[in-house]
Amino acid sequence: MMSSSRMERRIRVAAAFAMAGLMVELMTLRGSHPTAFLVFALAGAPLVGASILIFLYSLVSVAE
Amino acid sequence: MRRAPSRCWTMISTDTVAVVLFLVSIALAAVLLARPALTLTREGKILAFCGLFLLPILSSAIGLSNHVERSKQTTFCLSCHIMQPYGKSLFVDDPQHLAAAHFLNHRVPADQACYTCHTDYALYGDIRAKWRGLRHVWVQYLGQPPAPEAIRLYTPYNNRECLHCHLGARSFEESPVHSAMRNDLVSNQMSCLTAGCHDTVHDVADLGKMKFWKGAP
Repeated sequence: MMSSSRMERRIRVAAAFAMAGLMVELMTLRGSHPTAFLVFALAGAPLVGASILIFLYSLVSVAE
Repeated sequence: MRRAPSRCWTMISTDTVAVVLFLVSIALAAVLLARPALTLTREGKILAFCGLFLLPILSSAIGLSNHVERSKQTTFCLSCHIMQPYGKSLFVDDPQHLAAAHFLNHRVPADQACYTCHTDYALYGDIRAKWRGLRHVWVQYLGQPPAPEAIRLYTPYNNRECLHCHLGARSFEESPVHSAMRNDLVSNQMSCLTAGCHDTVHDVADLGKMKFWKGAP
């Protein structure tokens, strides 16, 4: 029970990161300026990357 | 007669696919944010795998690919203030101006004019061009950007970039001047931009004295 609630918390954090990252990426997607690319690469992509890592960690930590 | 799909249409459809994918990914992430308990079931785990792993990776990869493609466009390069004189130099009404002659006569694709001449036609040339682009952005925001007329290439312009298109072309091969120095040009021992040959490229310092082509009527 405890591990499932911990997993839920991590899933929630991962989902929040994914939403934030994907929204940033979506907002910069149509931009045709180097700044749009930079925001995509330096803000959006790391947030999405973090969400994926947290999600994978939540799977591994529950398996333990 | 059937018409080939235009680049614009391809670009729009790729963008649309990317936007739809992003919206689906965001919606799935929102569902998981609101109801993380869904992941306790098997279906929920599959949903989480799609929403927090597969789709974000796919969306980001498509987004990155779109950005990389868009960064090849002339409008992208000229969106920086410092590059605007270089954009203006593409309209100089003088066939001796190399960049303008290529751009105005569509010897390079007009929508990818900067990229076509300033990428390396070698292995990893695209990556090197993008890396240099990132360095330019760094200098623009955090460094001391030079005046447009003070901008110089990192290395002397390589003939390989010219010969990528011109070698084997009739206009190049039948020119007695080119034939006489062909080996030196191919081996890059003599630059195409040597004084007296094609030495006027952008010449942004003298733009004030130039006449410009106003465009097709």
